[in-house]
Amino acid sequence: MNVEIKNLSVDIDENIILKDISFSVAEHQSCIIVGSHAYYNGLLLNVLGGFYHPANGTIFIAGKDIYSKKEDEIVDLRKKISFVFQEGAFLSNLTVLENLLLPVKFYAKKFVKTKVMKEIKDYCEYFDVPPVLEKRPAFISYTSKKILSLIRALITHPEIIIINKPLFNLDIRNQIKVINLLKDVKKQGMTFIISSNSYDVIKSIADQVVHIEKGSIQKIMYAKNKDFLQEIKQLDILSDLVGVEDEV
Amino acid sequence: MNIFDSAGISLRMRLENTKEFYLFVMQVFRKTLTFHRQKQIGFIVLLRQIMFTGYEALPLIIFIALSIGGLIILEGNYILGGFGQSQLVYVILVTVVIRELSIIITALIVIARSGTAISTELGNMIVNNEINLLQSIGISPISYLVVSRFIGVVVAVFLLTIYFNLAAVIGGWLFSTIFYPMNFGYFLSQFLYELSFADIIIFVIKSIVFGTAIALISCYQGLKVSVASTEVPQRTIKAAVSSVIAVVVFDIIITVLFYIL
Repeated sequence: MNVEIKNLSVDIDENIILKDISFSVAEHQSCIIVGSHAYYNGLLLNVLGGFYHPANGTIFIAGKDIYSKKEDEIVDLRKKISFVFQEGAFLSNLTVLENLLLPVKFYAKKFVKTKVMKEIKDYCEYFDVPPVLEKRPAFISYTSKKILSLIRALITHPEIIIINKPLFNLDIRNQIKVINLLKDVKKQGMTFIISSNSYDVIKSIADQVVHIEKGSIQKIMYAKNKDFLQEIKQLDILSDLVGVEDEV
Repeated sequence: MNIFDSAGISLRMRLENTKEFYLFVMQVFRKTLTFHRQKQIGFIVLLRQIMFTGYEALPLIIFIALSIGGLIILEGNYILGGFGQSQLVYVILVTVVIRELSIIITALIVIARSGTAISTELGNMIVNNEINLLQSIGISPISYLVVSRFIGVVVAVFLLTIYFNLAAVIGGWLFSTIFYPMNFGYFLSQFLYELSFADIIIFVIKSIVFGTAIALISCYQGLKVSVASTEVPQRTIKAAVSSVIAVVVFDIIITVLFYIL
């Protein structure tokens, strides 16, 4: 599924925050949104996720303008998109496992628990997640929340995955695991839209990088261009695994 | 900005809020009608809401109802007995307790316990991105969170009012036996003699309307929190105050309509 954003403007309390944003992400491609202020990028992802109505402009996902339709009319579209929040986001009155199963149960015509549980087990082993599935979200670490929210997104097998800061709250070991996992998942043909200032994420999976500053697009860079990595390196806002944390 | 500008802005905001609330209410009613068809796991939330609002409030309701019923009989016997009109205490029990106090007190208890809890919980869910999470999955927060709470509170208020009335009658009998020992059967038959079908209808209408008002206002105010956790207590206070006002206004309207019609 491709994503097309046209002349998008977003305001909060009548102050324009995002101005005239236009870019598109082709099917099976990865778009990384970078910028020195995470606030703008996070807001853009929230608008892409359908949580915040733009003041102007359109967002077409698989040819459907998500803000011109009622919520009931885009449920089928939602099933093909997964969103990973910056700090995880879990329903506090459900256990971690119930949270993980919530979208799968909601989407499945016939829910086969054993199959899903195997996937969850495999991912948990890969990340070495402690046994927290039966606990309430309030009792697990931020690292586990972030990893489990990524697992929740992946087990629905979406066509598009939107991730707000994939390395946030993670130690270096888990950052490397996440990057490797994203690389593998990308090979399966998933479309990514990611907000991250990590050079490693960009180097590993980016097909294009959208640089946003003060609410406007400064530059769009494409991996197919020869001097892509050099262009990226010129951005002084990026960090890598051996530096300080990815997202500030 | 002069005083007319301020008044204009204030009026426009009030009208916008009223329109927003109206649209919210319509959406909740529409989703409620299709609740049984929704695959949205809201049934567990509904049961939890009935448990919390209905069952867990029961001891408090029964304690207050026993006391109120007893005290009204006690005072009624004391005053009316002096005029040789002791049988009128049953009329007072029906008019004051069944038609008015039971529903008002139950509503106030539900506002204090459940209305504030609903508003706080939904507000915190917004702050913690839980509502966005539901939306991202494609689960309507109205269906999953609001409809279940709405049905739960209406059912709970209705049931609690029935329990309140039963406890008030028992309390009335217990206190009246202090002065005029009588068996419960006789007391109950005198009470039922004074209880008309209209009293039951008015109690049913009021409990449903009050439950609806409390649930809708509390959910609406909770979902009005935008980003900051400091908004949560502010919205909770608004939910409680608006619910109390709505309950009193609806009580007056229904009672006046009852006497007019």
